[in-house]
Amino acid sequence: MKASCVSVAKRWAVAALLVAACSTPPPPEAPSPHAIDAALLARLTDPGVASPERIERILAEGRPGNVAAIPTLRAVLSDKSQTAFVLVPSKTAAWGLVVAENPSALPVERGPERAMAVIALESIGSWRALADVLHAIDDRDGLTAVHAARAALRFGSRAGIPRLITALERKAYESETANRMLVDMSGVDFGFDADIGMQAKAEAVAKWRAWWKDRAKDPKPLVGEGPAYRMGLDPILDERIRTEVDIVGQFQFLFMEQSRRMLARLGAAALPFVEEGLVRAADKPTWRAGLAQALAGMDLPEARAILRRLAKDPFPSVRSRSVEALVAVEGEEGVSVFADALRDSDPSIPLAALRAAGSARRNDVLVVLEAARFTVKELEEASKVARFRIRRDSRDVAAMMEQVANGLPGGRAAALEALAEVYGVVLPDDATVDDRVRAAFLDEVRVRSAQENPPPGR
Amino acid sequence: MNRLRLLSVIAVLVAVGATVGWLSRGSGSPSTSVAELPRSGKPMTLARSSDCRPCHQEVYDEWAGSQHGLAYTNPEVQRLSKGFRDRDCLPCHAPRPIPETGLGERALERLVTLEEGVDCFACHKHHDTMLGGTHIAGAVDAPCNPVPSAAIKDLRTCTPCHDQHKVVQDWKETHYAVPGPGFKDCNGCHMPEVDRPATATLPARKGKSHRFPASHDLASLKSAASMKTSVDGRAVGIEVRNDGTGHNFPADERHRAVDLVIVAETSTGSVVSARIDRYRNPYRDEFDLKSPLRNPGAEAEWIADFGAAGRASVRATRVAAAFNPNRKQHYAENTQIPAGEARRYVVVLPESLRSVTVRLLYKRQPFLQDAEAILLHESVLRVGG
Repeated sequence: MKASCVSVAKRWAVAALLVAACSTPPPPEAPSPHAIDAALLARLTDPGVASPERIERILAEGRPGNVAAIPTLRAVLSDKSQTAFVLVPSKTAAWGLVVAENPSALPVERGPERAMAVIALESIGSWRALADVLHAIDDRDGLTAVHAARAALRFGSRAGIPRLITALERKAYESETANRMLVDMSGVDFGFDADIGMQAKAEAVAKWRAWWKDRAKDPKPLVGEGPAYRMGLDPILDERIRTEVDIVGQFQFLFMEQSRRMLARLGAAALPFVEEGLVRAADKPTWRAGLAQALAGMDLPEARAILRRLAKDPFPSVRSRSVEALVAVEGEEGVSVFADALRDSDPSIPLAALRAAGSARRNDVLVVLEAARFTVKELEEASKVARFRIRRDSRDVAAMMEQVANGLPGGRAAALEALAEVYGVVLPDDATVDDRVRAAFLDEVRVRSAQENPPPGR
Repeated sequence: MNRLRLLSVIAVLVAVGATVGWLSRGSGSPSTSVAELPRSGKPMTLARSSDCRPCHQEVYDEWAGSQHGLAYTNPEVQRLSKGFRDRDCLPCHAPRPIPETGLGERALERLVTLEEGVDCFACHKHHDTMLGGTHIAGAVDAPCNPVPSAAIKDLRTCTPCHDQHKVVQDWKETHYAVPGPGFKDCNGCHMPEVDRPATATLPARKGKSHRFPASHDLASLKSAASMKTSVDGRAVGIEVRNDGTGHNFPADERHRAVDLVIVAETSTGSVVSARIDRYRNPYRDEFDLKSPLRNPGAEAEWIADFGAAGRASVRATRVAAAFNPNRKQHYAENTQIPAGEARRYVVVLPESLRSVTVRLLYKRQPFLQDAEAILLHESVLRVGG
């Protein structure tokens, strides 16, 4: 009996051990490096404390090397105006992140706090925040946008400098901040001040624009410009960039547009990721067309080399977007791309080339254009518009007026746009459908064309 | 007995199948690769929808007057896109063939034949072939090289443009998406059956209308939602219910808005009005708009301002749908009414108002005045006993 009891007790003990072993929780998994720290986010956005206190808490996270705080600061910074999507950690996603609609769950009126989040990200000093600050250049809050532009420079990207110059024309708190940043990074001062009067301000802004036109080509680093990012330097940022390359091929067009713009701003650093993406996009024309558009936004010879390849893509929209970007670039290459495009069997491609040649006022394609014969009416009309935009010859005005009156709908719209551009008359939004609005616009064009013959090279 | 048991088993299997099908609805249809779609191997020279007209006159006429046929030339679209200077609008208003871009993939733009909008090729063309229903199998000599293909009935032909604002996702949450006798997809409502010859040489037979009735069709629009009213002293009760669609009301575009409005006559004879509520998915840059009724069952109160005539208190309730009441809501600030849901209001009017008219107004874009809107429902009431 005793033995039996011992045996039963042993069996229970073994069973208890087995149950204990089975119920022991597995060792905790390391959290995703993209995961938001919920407790920290609650502290940084605590509605129970005043904004200055929240700002202090946000800035306190800006300790050099505090990369663990980046996803949470990203959540503070996130706003639909720059990223309509959020990236959620996922074990099953190829790059550890999936896209979701930005829920805008946090109060939207938190501009100063978003600006401080950018400063904190900049202070942490890690490339890992590069994609975030490149997006934040579009933030609807001006202060956030200019701080993002400067942070981008610290992370090796000059993509925000045009935004700083634009900020000079905005309200004082934004323009003064942008001017100080420009003076600091350039070492020059054009005397901009928010209170010096409209004329003097406009002159200072013009000087900054002229400065950047030259300085943009100079590889010598600006003051505070950090080294540029390259694939492999931060595997976590690489996952983020790859995710955004994928977004370009996904469905929601605003997400696509925002990711395309971020990649264009990333510039040379984005190219290897775009190349990888093109391999993944082998059977997805929408994705390749989106990547072509991202490349078109980069003023880089390496980007143009990829676009030359895409200009021979089997899918017409990929070709037309690539051709449009290449024809817009000065130089002999643009002429040969233009000539090739005119021979493409899909009429959308010559049409894109004609539009780009007109937009870039490429005199050097006129010989090719004059020799070309078009049998498709859309192309015939597009060639007239291109010729008018390039030559700006008042003898072409009558042809444009005729096209507005009797052209195909697309040709009419293109002729209206060309007249507006050449004579500097604002084209109303409803000019294509409202007869009275269109007549008033054309009257204004007639007055200007009578006064200015030939039209000025605006 | 055995037969009964067999029928029971079949019923259970059907129910399980339906449930599994419904539960797996989020994953969409299986991928159809572009490469899997048929080709004819014969040259096809058709370039414009008008080239289809000689054989398919009646279908062509339906399409030409439809919003697909008018997708580029529609004045409202021209205004909102600034004459398509906003080029992001082109992929859906002048798309390349969806079967070539990929079913369910974002559409891509063509730059020519713009005036044809969403043309015949957008849904039917796959390289040298026009995809169609099974009846076209015999038309071997037709210049469009027709090939029967299930792709033409696949709702992923619609999603590239019509799911940009999650219409199809919203539909998947409704009972219409459950496989079985009640199943209705996009074509079920927007391509109703018609009796007419598909080609000039064939007799009339049942086909699918290419008019695509939807919000531009007054009968469809009016049947989308119902409105009931009642009066108790100075309190007006209103219920607006989405009982006619398989998706949110209004659907699709963020431009669309439906306003619930009360127009009233005052004791001095002047006419005043106030908006009680608006159903709409706001633009993403309308940062200040908030939905007061985020979840089914939610209640909220607000004020409707009749100007000098006084203010009315509004108590609103979001009434859940009977089927799948807790639906996925894609946009937090969206105030559209999901299919099957209702909004109930008790509006207590100020003393100065006498005769009131409750109107449900449809606006193709949110900036239109009430006078420019389409009247869906109207109810005239005498208040105050």
